[in-house]
Amino acid sequence: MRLVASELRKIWTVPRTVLGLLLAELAIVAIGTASTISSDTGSTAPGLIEVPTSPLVRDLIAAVAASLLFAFILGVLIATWEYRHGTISQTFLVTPVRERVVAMKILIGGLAGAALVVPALALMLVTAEIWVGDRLDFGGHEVGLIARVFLAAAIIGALGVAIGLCTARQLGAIIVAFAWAVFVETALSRWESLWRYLPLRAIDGVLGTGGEDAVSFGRGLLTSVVYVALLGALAVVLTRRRDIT
Amino acid sequence: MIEVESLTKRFRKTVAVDNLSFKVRAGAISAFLGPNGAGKTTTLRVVLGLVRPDAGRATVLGKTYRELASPPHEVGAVLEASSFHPGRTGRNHLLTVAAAAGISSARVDETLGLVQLTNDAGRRVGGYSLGMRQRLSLAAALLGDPKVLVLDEPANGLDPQGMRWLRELLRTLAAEGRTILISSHVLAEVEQIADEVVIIHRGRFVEQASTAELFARAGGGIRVRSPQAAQLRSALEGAGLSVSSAEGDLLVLGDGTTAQVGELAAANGLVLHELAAEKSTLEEAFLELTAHETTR
Repeated sequence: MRLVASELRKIWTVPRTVLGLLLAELAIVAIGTASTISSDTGSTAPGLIEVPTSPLVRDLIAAVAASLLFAFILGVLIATWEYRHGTISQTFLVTPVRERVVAMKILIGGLAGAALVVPALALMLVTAEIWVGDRLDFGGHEVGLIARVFLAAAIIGALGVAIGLCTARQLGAIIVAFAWAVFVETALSRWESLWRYLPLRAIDGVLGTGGEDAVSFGRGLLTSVVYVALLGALAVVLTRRRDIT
Repeated sequence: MIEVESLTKRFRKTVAVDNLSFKVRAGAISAFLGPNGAGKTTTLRVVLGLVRPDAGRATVLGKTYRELASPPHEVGAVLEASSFHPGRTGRNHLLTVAAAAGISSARVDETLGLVQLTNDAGRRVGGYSLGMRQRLSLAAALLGDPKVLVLDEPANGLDPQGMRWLRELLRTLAAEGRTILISSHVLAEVEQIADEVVIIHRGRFVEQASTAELFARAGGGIRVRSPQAAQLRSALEGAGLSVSSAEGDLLVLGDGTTAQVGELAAANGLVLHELAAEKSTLEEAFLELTAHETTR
């Protein structure tokens, strides 16, 4: 619990960084929400593969899912700003068993990633209620869909931490992730049976946004957790071997 | 208390520390000296578990740093003054450390007072001077009230008042029975507080001795000025004392005491204008020892 408290304090005591990230996230979600509402035709259509819902609500929740990008960036920051500013020395002086630090940071990355969904969701709900409140119909399916966004954000946040801890560099971690998303997953798409289980496709499975080719929610969740565990294990190995000079 | 045994650390092809061994006595202030690049910081970081040795080991209180049950309560460390998030306030920096170590916020405020940072505790560290950052580093080191302090260049960036404050603080901490290992290149500062000295050069052990022993070994001289320098020289050499240099009315002796010289001059009816024992400094001893190593 001490480490959790310390790691959480590290996040909220650098308000400019967190606020900047939050404002960027809210701006993207606001644009997504406004564009979804303004282009909504009011028609009904088939919903998601597993969670049938109205296109408007589905697209509004998809706008909130933009916060996944920021959950990833926050995860990377949680892992790498300690290396960037040299505070990792102090962290390891207090907690020399480095695997504990890695585990705690991954946990905090998950919590922080999920927490970033809250303001995005609040903004979307308030905007939608004011603008098209009469057309909103939130039921159990929609709540389930929102829960999936929280879960996906937690996984993405944890992945961001794990990748950040492996590279120990902010830009490096972000470049690795984007290169993976843009080039590697695209290049591997021809092997569909493998492709479905790649990290971003597994997250699609968690969100239920991957179309007919996506893995189920359960498989997506399990696969994502395995990726977090594998990258976390790699982060432990690399962090233990890394000299803090 | 702190023990380094056959420690070797390489960074690629560079050997930073080469089969280094020494022990730091409990309850003493030990200065860890060496020229730039001698391997002091690397050694301290191995002691603190931040750098993995290629061979050998370093222990504190009989254990490797990783094995310590509650590190912040056993060992306090000051490393670089730049190891802070610039956007975090000084107090919040200490609170993050305290939270991980299970230390109360009251102790954080107490430590801020101890390093005279109470008034600046709410400011972002990015706006701190180097001296203030050093004080904040010291505060973090002292949070857990540890028995052992490992300080890497703690005087960096301190102004003369700050240096005096640090000296007095370290003396107080040592008087409380703490073991302090301090690396520094400000030798004049170190010689005023250190009980013993460990000198390394190019990653290798050079010398470990008490500061008193080091001064005695490095020796000193006696300066004597007389308008009758030639007669005085004859008298001194006649008494078996060696004059190492003579220039005008000034003689420098390599041995003997001021009392011997004064008595000889009086017995021979010679006038003296100056008679003083020249005390060697730690810097001279250090330069002599490391120069000797360099020529090996």
